[in-house]
Amino acid sequence: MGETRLSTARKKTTDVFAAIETALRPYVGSTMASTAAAAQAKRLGLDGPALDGDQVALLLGKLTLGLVIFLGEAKTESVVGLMRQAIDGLEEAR
Amino acid sequence: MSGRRPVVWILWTVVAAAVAFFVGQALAPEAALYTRILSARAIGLIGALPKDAFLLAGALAARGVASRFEASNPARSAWRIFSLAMSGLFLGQAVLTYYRATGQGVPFPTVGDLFFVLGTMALVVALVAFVRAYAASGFPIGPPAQLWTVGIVGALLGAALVVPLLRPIVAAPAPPIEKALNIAYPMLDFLTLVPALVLLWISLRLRGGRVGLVWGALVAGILFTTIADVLFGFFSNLGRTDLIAVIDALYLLAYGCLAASALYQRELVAG
Repeated sequence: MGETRLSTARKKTTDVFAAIETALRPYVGSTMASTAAAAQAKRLGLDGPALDGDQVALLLGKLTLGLVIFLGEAKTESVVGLMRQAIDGLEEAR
Repeated sequence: MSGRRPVVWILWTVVAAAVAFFVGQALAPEAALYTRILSARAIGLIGALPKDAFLLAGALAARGVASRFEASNPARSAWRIFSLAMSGLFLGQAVLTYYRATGQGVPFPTVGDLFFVLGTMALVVALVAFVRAYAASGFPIGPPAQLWTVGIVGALLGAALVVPLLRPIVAAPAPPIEKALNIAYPMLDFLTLVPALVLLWISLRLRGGRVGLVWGALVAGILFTTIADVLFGFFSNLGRTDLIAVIDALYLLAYGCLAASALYQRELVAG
């Protein structure tokens, strides 16, 4: 699912979470959207101020596994695609 | 999505019209509409046919939803069982509709009770399957201790509603099958209420989103069904058959909500 490659550049963790939250909000509401990415990142041990491409892919993979239970595979693919696009468009972390 | 949305709006329109009709009857039972314009049989069918339609729509939509999930997805089996539950309730309701259409009084028990019992048992299993599926999603649906607390509170609340109903039923002389069914219905309500309240707790975290709409409608459907069942039991014990319009309105609302949840989820997975 989701063949689009993510850029390998590091992105600020808070920006990545915000991009994920924006894509999730219409489906799971603001409360769940604002906590989902941080909760999954914590489980994966991704607690640094920035995330590289592999870490973002890991996080999106984890979110995908959960989201398919709510939305099914096709819709999840499109939502996660939006997340990837938004994250790719973020400024690189300094 | 836009091509499917009208189905849900049609559903809500029919629910609103049917509920308004029976609320009107409860408030003004002597009005000409209910005493002279429409026969008792026509009123019975106005109550029965929309319930059939809601339950059938819910069963079909839930079946369609299940087919959209991968075989390994735990939501697939949950939606399949929910479809079976709605089918069971539909068959039970169809038996009642038959008696209403033929103008006969509805005997008790009928083969419809078998379908209602099986359908409600499937509903309990479906609700537990939904809770397990969402717990497996890894989304922050709430700490397990919190969910257990909600379950225990639900069990206590259910017991507070069901036990007063069961006492006179157990004490009353009745044929064994009739007594067994009279005990089974409140017990099944109790079993349904517990996972429904856990789902309600989870759906509060999803409020404002389209997934929350699915779960809000489903939980509302369960709660209205439980309220209708409990009130039916109390009104029957009190001999208040004049309040049957209130029960009809509640079941219409309940089945409408259950159908809406499956239709909302169908929109969600198909969009």
